Amino acid sequence: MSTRYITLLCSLVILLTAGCKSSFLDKYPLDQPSAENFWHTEDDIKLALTGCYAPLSVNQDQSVAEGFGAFTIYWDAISDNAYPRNGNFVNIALGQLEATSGGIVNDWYNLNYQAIASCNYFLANADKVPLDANTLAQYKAEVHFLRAYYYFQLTNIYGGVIITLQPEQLDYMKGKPKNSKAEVMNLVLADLDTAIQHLPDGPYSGRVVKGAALGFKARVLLYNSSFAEAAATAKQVIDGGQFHLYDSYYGLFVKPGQTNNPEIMFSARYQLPNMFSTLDYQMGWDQWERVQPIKSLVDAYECTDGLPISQSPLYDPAHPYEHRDPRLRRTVYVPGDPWKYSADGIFDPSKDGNNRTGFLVKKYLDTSRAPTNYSTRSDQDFVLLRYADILLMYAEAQNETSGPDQSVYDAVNAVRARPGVNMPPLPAGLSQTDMRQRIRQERRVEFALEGTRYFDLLRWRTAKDVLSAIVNPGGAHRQFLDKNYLFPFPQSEVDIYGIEQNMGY
Amino acid sequence: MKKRIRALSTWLLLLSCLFIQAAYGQTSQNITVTGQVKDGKGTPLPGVTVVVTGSGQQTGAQTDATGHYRISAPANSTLQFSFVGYATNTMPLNGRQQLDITLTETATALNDVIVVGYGTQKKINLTGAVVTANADVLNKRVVTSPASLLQGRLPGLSVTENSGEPGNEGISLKVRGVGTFSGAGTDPLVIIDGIPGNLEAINPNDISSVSVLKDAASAAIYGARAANGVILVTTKKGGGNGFHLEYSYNMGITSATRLPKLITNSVEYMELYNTALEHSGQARAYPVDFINQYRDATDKTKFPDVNWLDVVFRTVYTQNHYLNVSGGRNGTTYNVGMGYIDQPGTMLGFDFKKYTLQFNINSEVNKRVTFGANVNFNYGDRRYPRQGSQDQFLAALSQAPMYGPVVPDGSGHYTYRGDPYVYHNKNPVAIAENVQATDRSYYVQSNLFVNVKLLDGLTWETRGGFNFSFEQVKDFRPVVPQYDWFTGAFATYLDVGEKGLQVNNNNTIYPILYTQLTYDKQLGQHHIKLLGGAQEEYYRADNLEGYRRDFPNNDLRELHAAGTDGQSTDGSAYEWALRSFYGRLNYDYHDKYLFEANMRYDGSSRFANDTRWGFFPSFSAGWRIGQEAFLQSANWLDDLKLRASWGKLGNQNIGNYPYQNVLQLGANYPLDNSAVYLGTKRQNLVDANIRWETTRVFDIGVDITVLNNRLTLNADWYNKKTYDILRTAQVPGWLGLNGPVINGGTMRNIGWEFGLQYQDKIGEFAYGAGINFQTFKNELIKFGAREIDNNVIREEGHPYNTYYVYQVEGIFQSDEDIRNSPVQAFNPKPGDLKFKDINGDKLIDAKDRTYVDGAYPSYSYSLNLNASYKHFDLAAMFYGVEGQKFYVTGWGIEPFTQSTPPTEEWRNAWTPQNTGATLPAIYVQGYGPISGVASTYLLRDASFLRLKNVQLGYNLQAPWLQRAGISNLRVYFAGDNLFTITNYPSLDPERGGSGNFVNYPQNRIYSFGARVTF
Repeated sequence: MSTRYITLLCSLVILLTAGCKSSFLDKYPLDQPSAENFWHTEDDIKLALTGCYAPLSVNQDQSVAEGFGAFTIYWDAISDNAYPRNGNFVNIALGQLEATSGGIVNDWYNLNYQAIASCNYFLANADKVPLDANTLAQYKAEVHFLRAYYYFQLTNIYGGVIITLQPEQLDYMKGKPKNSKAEVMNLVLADLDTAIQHLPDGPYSGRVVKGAALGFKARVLLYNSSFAEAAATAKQVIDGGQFHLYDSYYGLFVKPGQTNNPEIMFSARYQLPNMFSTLDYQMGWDQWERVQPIKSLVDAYECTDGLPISQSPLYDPAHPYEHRDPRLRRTVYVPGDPWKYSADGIFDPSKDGNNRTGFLVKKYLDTSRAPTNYSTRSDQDFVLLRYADILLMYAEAQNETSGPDQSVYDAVNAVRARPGVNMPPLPAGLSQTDMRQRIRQERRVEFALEGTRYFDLLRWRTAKDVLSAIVNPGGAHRQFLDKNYLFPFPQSEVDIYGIEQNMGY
Repeated sequence: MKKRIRALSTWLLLLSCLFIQAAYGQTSQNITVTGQVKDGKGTPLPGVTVVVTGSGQQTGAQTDATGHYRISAPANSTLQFSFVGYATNTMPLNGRQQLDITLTETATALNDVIVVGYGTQKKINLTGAVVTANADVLNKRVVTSPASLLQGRLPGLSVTENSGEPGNEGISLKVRGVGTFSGAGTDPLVIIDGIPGNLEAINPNDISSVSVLKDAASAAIYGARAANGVILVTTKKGGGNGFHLEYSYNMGITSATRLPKLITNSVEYMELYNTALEHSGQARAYPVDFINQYRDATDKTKFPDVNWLDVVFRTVYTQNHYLNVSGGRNGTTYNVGMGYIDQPGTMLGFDFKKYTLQFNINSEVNKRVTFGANVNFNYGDRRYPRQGSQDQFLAALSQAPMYGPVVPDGSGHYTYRGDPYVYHNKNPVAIAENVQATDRSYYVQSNLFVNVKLLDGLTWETRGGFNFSFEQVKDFRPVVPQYDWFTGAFATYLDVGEKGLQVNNNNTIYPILYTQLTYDKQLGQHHIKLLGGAQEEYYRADNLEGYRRDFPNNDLRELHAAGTDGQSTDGSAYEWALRSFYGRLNYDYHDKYLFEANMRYDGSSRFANDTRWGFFPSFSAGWRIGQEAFLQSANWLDDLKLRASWGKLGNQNIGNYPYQNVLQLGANYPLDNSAVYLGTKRQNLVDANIRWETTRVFDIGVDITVLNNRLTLNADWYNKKTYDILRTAQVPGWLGLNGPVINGGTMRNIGWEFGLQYQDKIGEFAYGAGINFQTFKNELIKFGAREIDNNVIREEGHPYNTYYVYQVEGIFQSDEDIRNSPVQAFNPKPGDLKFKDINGDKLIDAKDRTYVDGAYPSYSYSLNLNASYKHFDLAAMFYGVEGQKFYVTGWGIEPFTQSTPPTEEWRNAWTPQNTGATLPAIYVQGYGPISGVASTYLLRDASFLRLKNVQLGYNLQAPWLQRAGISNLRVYFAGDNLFTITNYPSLDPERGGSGNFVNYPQNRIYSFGARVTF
């Protein structure tokens, strides 16, 4: 009897052993490509190239996007233009910029380096794909540009940083020294020169073109106070004629005007229906209002006669928003503006529970989408470089190099004379210092809420004076200490890697 | 419909026939039997249960105060006499009408057999740390979730009920503390009838016993995934001959245990808010004339004082039906349990229904072969406001008392903001009534086994199991208009998130097969038991989801109904596999010297070929010192055993492909105006050499039984060390890559626990009391660079996630006080919190954060009491946790978080006149000097002691019931969470962890039930 069961047992054991192929335990990811099987075709190149662009628009997860893509606007919230109601930047506006502050202190560092890692991975492997030299050179030129862009973002905030140019491996703790800011700048310029050499010279429709690389190089040089070179590089773009001012200031910031726009040279891009940001409701919906312009910005707009409100006879304190530079009302919601979120259709900050400053963001909002809510998908591209900036950069660099010559006037006046803006030209006979102030003023109002103001204040070294004068909603003075010209490195970078912390932190 | 009624009536008819058959089937041949029952010393025994068996007839009686009984039974039947603490005696009648019986006392505790890994073991011969509880003890509580039953019953197992949300209690089970900080997880392995399973999927009534394997010796046989302990659940089996039918019903009147007492007077709310705004440096929000409208109002419909918690919380009725059929015939036994639980939530919008079916059959094919099958089927239907209970709760708290959920014009329209001056969260009633997500889950766990006695003592068992689950979540976000409170005009649409319908389908399959040989041999005084086996398991999970957004109306709630613009789909899958070989050797000499060795050799698909296999041995020994000659004279001592064990356990539960170098998809970008391009990036570093995480446990224990088996003590001390912890490496940010999964880090838990039980009987009065106690100390031995989060720190030498916050020293009483104190950030004012200058540098900054205890309880304990007298029985369980703290924020604890009304205690907050207050000056959440930094202010003591459960029952065994075929009718009253002693503010202290203060409160339940046994 029992022999039958022993036979049965044996056969089962044999069965199991036979089934003991080691493949039973070999399991591979079902939805991700293996790195070992990559870099064979042009499709692989395109996948990886897209991955290098993607960080520009990190957006769908609103918790890490601030400062990037749709939320470059946050940088204005720690300048004298606006105030953040909450989020990653609020601690800084409250004067808490420390290594342990978290938020943007960590995100800016990590996100830029993640983008750089993608670029390095691309540049180290692209040559493996059999492709004709020119095509490959163009792909690589784009990535060189992007790597320069990300490093520039880093160095503006942290000063000298670690330069990594290869895909990192497990031996990362062997260590790289922190490079000086000058070394980072050199890398950025070298990458840009490579890009300029191989990029096509044409209009911008999503991928980097030569004009963008030149224009961006002008910005890098300007930030580096290499004024003569900056002016010359900007001049190259102006003379190239690929770009010119767009005739609608509003149109620059909403999708219909942005498509094939002659002024936009580089942007963080979105595409409905599925690649979208949450901008319209985060800034426009009365339940969010995450960034709110402050009076300092509103007061900076001149009256239509070209005079500041302190001097202009057109300024009426009872109707403070009349007869003002038209760009004001296209940038900021002021009390009394039509507004879709109140019972009477009028914006009244005292009846808006979330409003702390008395104003709301209007620039970049597509007002046709109001009233917005969580169903609202935003597709506005975020302009990272536009031709007006080339003109004003040229003016600034040229004024610093050789004083306010006619080309300086021409450049600034062209921006002021945009159709629909129509501000009078600058008065003749300005000194170099006066012109410097005029250009800075022009930059502030032209680019308000586009994320450039904070960086301008840093490079002009005026941030401490300007920001210390700002009073936050609630009455506390904003704090900006000398050390704040640089961000601290995230505490984790000190704890884990022992990076030398920036001075004062 | 007609068809259904007909089917139903057929069933009813059948069922009644069954009952009648059972009741009256053979009454014609009955004789009346009388007799007396005595114990070994000749003392009459009252209260002994006498049951007629072996005739298909189920009648019963009890002995009276003099031990006499009287019962009507068929002349050819058998009587069964049973009584707690005595061996059951069965005696065929053979026509006798007079039958006296002697019952002998048993040391049941000593003869108990308990379930251990891949087998059973006599309790007295255990050498590992195993605790067990059977259905009698567990089912004292009437609950819907089986995990709840385990609370306070098993020393070493912490059961935390995170919330009272129906079907989503978030119950956390931890064996001996948190063993690791890896992503590998800290949940114990749950084995149901020999196969890994899901505890939540079974009906509490179907559980027969639960064992917890706590140390390495007992758990190592499950090496692969046993590092966090193993919970073995056995479901009910049929037994004996005959047919048993049992039906029980329970209704629970359920309400929230604790809710905040809010200030709900509209005028007081607005005035306090203005005061708080002013203190927080903001403009007053409410104009005087608006406040006066409420002060002077005669129309309380339009100008009410609404308590939103009354609106959103309710008392509900929970119902629990359970039908069990069991029995056996000619070597085949069966057990079928059917359950239905209907559990509405105490919070508006929550609802859960659970249907269970358990089926068990065992059959002796012949003398050598037994086979059986076990199937558990579960269907759960859960409805909940789509953003969950926390969101619903905070939305309710965020409302002001000045308006209600619907506008006062009688239209029934939902209100949008009856308060134009400050921000409030969304209308929770509109959400509950319109934006319920549904989660339907189906779960089947089944197994089939064949047991063959090959030779004398040699048994071969093969068991195959198959678990299957399917879950569909439908989240429909309708368009719901809302109206202005004052004008009744349309205002805006309800915030439902992004409109549309999201459907998620998740399914898993999980087949498991093991085959094993056991050899059991007694050679003189040597007893040897050998076990060896092999096991394979495979798991695959698939996910598919779809979304569409533009629906023509709110009634069509399937994807097909909507337009395709903006639609999206996604889907994914993963799999893993394990192959294992295991073995055990038990040896005892003279039942006195016990030894056990276990080993398991596991291969996991989660590691590379070279590092895939892990070996996990364990050894344990016991000395039944009580059996030694020198203690035989100690009459008071019934049994005394010393135990010690050492062993290793493994953990591999981190990611599914942690060693493989893959690229991440999804880094997409619109490179031109035509399309969004697919993008990829390298996101992680990988370490292909990772291996098993190992937990080493050393345990010593003692089991003592004294005073004639009245008092038992089981106690254990352990040192549990987990090393090579699988975790993501700490990497510098400049890598731009996520850290690889590596083996790095060591964590240790040292602790002890005991269970003490006393049981006695005085005449018909039986009573008992028990204490379970557990405590442990957690320490990070090796971690790497310290990590500081908002309020916790992870640093070597401290418990994992120790609280690390500023210490509140008091409240600033005056400007002078502030000037004389160390400088604090945010320009504090009198009435604000004063922090302690830990490092004495006269400056309060990040360096003044300090370690604060409370990350883990100092100890937790439970007290069980039981008593019975004649037909009455009473049981109570107290459960307590001491020394646990939670860092809680926001709604309900910080005043005016999103305009949440403060609790009544804020009436007693600091003011220049009320300087002795413990609460700071009233402020608006977000105000820097109070909520700008994490301090002990929001770190709250969550110690508590509560009457977890009390039950009073009455067993009715009247002749008239027997004539109706009912052998036993039990009616009972039970109460859950009837009272709680705690210092924790406003809400239930029993919760999962730190975070938002709002948390679905536990349920207070008054329940009434009955159980009928036929």
